[in-house]
Amino acid sequence: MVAGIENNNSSNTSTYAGLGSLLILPTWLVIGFFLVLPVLMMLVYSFLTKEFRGGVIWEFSLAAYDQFFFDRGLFGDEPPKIEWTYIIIFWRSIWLAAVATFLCLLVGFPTAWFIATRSGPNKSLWLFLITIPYWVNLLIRTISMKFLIRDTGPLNEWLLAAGVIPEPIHMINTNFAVQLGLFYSYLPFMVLPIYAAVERYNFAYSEAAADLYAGRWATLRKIILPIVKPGIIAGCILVFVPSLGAFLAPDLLGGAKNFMIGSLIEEQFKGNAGNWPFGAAAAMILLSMVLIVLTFYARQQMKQGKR
Amino acid sequence: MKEVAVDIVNLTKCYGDFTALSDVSLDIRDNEFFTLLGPSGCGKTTLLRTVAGFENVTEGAILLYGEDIANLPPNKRPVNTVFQQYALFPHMDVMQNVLFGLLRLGQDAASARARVGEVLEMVQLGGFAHRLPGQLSGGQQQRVALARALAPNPKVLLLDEPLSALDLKLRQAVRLELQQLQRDTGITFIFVTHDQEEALTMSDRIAVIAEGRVQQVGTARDIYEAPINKFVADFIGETNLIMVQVLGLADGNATCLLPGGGKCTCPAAQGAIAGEGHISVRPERVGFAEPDAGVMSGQVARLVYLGTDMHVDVTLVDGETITVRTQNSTGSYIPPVGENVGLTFEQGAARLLVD
Repeated sequence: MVAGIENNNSSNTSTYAGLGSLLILPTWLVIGFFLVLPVLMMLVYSFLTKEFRGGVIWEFSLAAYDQFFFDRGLFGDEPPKIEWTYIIIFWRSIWLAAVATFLCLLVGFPTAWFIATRSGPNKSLWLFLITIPYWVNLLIRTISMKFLIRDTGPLNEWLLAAGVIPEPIHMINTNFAVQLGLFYSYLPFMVLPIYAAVERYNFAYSEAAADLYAGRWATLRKIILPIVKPGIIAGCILVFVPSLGAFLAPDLLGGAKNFMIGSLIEEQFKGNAGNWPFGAAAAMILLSMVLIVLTFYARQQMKQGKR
Repeated sequence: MKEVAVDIVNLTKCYGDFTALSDVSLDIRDNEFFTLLGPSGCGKTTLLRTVAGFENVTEGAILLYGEDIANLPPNKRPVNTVFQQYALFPHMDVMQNVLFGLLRLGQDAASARARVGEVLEMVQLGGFAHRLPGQLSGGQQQRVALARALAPNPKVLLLDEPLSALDLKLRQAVRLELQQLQRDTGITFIFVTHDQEEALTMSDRIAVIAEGRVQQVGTARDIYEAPINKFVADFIGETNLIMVQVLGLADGNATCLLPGGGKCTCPAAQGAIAGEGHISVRPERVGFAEPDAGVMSGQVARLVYLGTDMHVDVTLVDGETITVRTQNSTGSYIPPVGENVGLTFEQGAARLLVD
């Protein structure tokens, strides 16, 4: 009898989901044309020879990757040394993105928890409030932040007027400013997936943990965090990956000294001074790093799914 | 008399304006299978949760073997709970779930593991230690929940409708096992249910709860045969509640004027008063007589076939309906619909209730 019921269910499902496989077709087309194709073009361009006024010459070359990793002197005839400039930019980008992710997590988790534990209508209101910044363009928001935190900006003025600080704090064109920009830009991407995970969390688990002699801290560590972990990881990826490639925040808030990968790549395609193959190579290196992280995560997820 | 395990003293619990529990006092004895029985929303689960520590009390005290625990957080109370939906930790296997409480109590890993093996055997789940809760059937999950709550050897085990998620056959089997487990472990069980059959078959004593108040406490037999008020008589089993005029009360007996002018004398519940009242008579205790020969008379309105038994609904002259339960056996008299009949019952079968 039980088997009969199950059969019924599955036949119902296939009846109503009949067109399922076709529904994804438009997405495949969009991804194919606007994602896979451009990435392949980048891959090809990264192996071509640069043309001096921007653009490429269709001739195979490893020069772009060579330039990224090795220093052969001004005229290219010295023995190769490791070129640290770009590696340091990459390293700084990873560090800035990681710190921004950590800050987002630190602020985002309690926020998400707060929203998920409100009653129905309040929940919707808070979620709505979280999305409001997205109504204003990121560029405008970043520029306004620049105005807010500059030496003679309102933040410093207020702090001075209130007597909290004796002289303006220099924030603009520092790593701190870049991190603040990244944190502010991507915080909602941390809040929303964690919110979704906490929403599904059954508070009976916390009661059971308390009943079994766990204090608040042990309950958080042993029960809550492992159960909402998928949401936390999703949030971290959604913040870390775009932070890594961001160029608005480092350009506008970081100044020339606080270059990130995104700005480096952007420079190569701007105006006549660019180097397209080099920009493409840098983008491919960034992409492979992101892919390594994502593959690692996907493998973890699959391992968990199998258990 | 045995030692008191849990002493609930004048407990009141309010949520804003709503009073969930009102002046509840109970003493639950050591090694007792004690059941809180009542309809949904009556406050029985709230009462259990105040003992577990998930709800704070508005007024009153909860003494656990003499020690007031009303203000302790749940993780400081030596009681464990079997939750209604089990609340097994989904990311931990059976072993880790059952280990959890033991490790939190600071037991060393080796002895804790030995204890887990012991309780898993006790609930017949020896081979399932490395399954995740999601890979177990409802009945198995229920056993894991039981093992997890029993492992730390709590002073009192709280069970919040643990059988309600199981299907009927399984529920009946688990009832006996639970009772046996209670006898074997000697742990005091406080069991919450809305299912009167569960309560009657398993419990040493039952507290019937309605509208946030304890209506009656007693053994299954006390509660079924000597209900104190209308609610208890009506909630436990089936009964006929007959409106009567109480003419006199003496020595615990009441003389009542029945509808239609008949009189009867029956035991009165403590606290019953003269004037208008209700008596309760179980359907199986009412018999048929010649018209006008019984204490009441009426017309057969409906027959309901129940397999072994037959329910005969008789409409009295004043419009009230009395149900008579007779066995469907050869020789028992079952009047046809429309027949005028008299109804009788023994003096002791009826009981005057507190309204």
